This record gives sequence, C-alpha cells and structure tokens, in this order.
Amino acid sequence: MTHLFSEEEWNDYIEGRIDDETRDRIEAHIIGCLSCWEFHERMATATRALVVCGAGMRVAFALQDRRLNAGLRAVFAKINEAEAAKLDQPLRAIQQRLDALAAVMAPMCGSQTATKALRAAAQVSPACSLELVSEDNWTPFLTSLKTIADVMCGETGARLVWERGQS
Amino acid sequence: MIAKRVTPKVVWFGLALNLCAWLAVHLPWRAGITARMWVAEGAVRTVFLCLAYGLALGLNLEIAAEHRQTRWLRIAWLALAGNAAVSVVRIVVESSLFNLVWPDYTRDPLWGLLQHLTIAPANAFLFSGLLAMWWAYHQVGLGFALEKRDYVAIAGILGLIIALMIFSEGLSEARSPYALSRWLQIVGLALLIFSAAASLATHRMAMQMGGGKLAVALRVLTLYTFLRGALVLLRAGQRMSLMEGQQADAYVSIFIVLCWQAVPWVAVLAAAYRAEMIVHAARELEQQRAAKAVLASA
Repeated sequence: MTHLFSEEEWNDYIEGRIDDETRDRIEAHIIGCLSCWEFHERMATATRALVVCGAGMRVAFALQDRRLNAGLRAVFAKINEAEAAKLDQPLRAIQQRLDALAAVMAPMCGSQTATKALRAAAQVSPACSLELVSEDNWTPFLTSLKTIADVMCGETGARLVWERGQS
Repeated sequence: MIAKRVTPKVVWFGLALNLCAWLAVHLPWRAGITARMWVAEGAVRTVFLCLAYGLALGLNLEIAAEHRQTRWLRIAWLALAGNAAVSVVRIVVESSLFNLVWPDYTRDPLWGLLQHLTIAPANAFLFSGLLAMWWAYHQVGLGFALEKRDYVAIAGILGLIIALMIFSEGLSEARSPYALSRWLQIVGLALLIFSAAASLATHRMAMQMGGGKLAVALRVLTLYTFLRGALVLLRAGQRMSLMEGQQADAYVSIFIVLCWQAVPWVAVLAAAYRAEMIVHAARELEQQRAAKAVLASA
C-alpha cells in the first residue's frame, strides 16, 4: 500500500531523510487518507522500537579493541591452520616416503650411507636438494637413487628401493 | 642360490668344524698318545680349505652377478672370485697328501715354486679386487674419505716393503734354487702389502657407513687381508728367530696353523655377509610385492 508514493519515499519519510517538497506532499496526503495514516503510524512505531533496541544491543555487546583483536587473531589463526594443513599434507607424504626409502637401505648399506645416498640423489635430480623433493620431481629423484643403490646394495637391493619408492 | 644356504652362521660352523677336526687328529700326537697322523692332518687341511675357498668362489661369483650394472664392482667381485679360485689350486699344490705318491714332496724346492706360482696371482687378484671396490664406492660420491691417520697407516704398511727387501734373506724361498721362486715370493708379499693398504681404505669407508651388512663384509675383508699379512710376518719372524735345527714352540706353532686354517673361512665370511644382502633384499622385495598384491585385490 503505497498510494501516490513509492516505497523508497515512504522509508525516507519515516527515517526523516526526505526532501521538503515530498514531505509536504506526503503530509498533505495522510491528513486525508486514513489507511495511509495508520500505515505511517505503524511503521513509525516499529522504526522507533528498532532504533531503541539497536542502541540497547550495542551497549550490551560492546566489543573492546583488545577483545576484538583477540577474536580476529583466533579467526585468522584458524584460517591459516587450515591452509597450512592443506600445504603440509604433500610435504608430510614425501617425508614419509623418504623415511621409508632410508629404512629400506639402512640394513644393507648403513644408516649414514642411506642418508648420504638420498641427499646425493636429490642433488643430481631436478630437485637439487632433499628439501625440495616433491611429487613433481619424485621420479627423476628415485631414478638417481636407484643408480646409487645399484652400487651400494646391488641389483636386487636397487630393485627393492625402486619398488618401495613407487608405492 | 648359494647365498641362501651359505649364511654367516654356516661359515662359522664350517670354521669351527675345520679347527676341531684338525685339533682332533693333531693333539693326540702332541700328547704322545699316537704317532703323527700326517695323512689325516693333510686330508683335513686340504678338504676343508678347498671347501672354504670353493664356497668363497661360488659366493663371489653370485655377488659379481648382482653388479651387472656397476662395472667396477663387477670387476672387484670377479677379482675376488679369481683370488678364491687360484687359492683352491694353491691348497691342492701345497697339500702334504702328495707325499704319499712323491716322497718328500713338501721339502722339494719345486713345492715352494708351485706354491708361489699360485700365491702371486692370487694376491694380484686380491689387490685388484680391493682397489676396484674402493674406486667403485669412491666414484658414487657419497663423501667417503680417508682421514689423516689412514694416510699415516697406509704409509706405515707400505714401509713394510722396505723391511721386506732388507729381510728378504729370512723368507722361506730365499735359498730356493729357482730364481723365479725367490722373485715370486717377494712379488707376492709386496702385493699382499698393497692389498692391506687398499683394504684399509675400504675399512675407512665401512666405518663411515653407519652399520649395515656391507660395512660388516668390508671389515671382514680387511681382516682377511690383514690376517694373511700378519701371519706371513709372524712366520717369517719365527723362522728368523730360530737357530738351525731348533724346534718352534708347540703352542705358537699350533696357533699359527689354526690361524692359517681360519684365513680361507674369513674370506668366505666376508662374501657370506655381502651375499646375505641379496637374500635380505630378495625377501623384502617378495614381501613388498605380496603386500601390494593384497592391497590391489582388496
């Protein structure tokens, strides 16, 4: 029920943001139109109630800067944690595979040799260092490691390393 | 696959059996219970030592076959197999059992010549094997390196060559009518000294490996080389310290003979430890494949 006025004009009138000319037109209309008068009264009462309630709520739940800061930190920490877990997952999987390869080689050619072999294989592979070995450069790294294992563990040992690296 | 049957435990058992058998036929004579049983002693020595070197030959060939892709290690283990093969011939030609068909064979200068005709090539194989092995592991580039004290020890070992030249008169073949025999003994000993120096380098690598079966095999190989060198020195020292016609101390003699009989078993032990790696890897591979098959079928 907007009669001669738009919904926007009604809202602006009730909230007191309307221009003088439109306000005069509305007031001239509601003096003679009962339904518009009643509508205006209901809307004005509801708006006042909302304004009062909003002010009360702002007082009741006022956030101090320190609390706001702590809250935001907690939210961002959770977001970062989730993102880091997503990034760490492949890294952890690679580390597990490297550990498994070292565990396979150690009983045959010694734990220090196994560690040195992993490093040497990484250095000659596209990864260039053990820390940068990833899913993308895994196969060339494993091929280099197999070549070293061929010398240190023999053909059967190298085959074991190769198959363990592929699983 | 010989490696599956000839485990280090079996080798230790063979060594113990060899020494016990020899003591069983030798000690009754020492105790004055029986006459000396030359034939039995000779038979025990010949049979057990041929068996030991035969096993070393088989194991070394099997290990060489494991290194089809790595040329230097293949050469190394083939050379060690060559050492074992020539050593079998050596045990046969120096057997006292030939005294049965050729009286005083072991006192004949020809015995010394035949012995050194086998010792020199056997030591050449040993030296080249150790050298190739050191080179192969060095080439991988895992950072195995000699330390200062190793260079000092190697210099000390090589210094023994000078001592060998000075005391060459104390060697068993010094008075041999065969010049070849005299030279072969010196060459054979020089090669043994070179082998000891090379084995020191492989021993250092074993120390830097942080355990594992390969390190044990390399250490036992070093023990084999050093034991042979030490026994040669001990026997030469014993010979030089004895006056004409004087008998060596019984306990020392028994100890030296026992050590000489242990030497081939030490060579087998080194090969058995290395061959154990093949068995271990094959077993692990089998288990891994079985696990994969189970996962695939699940």
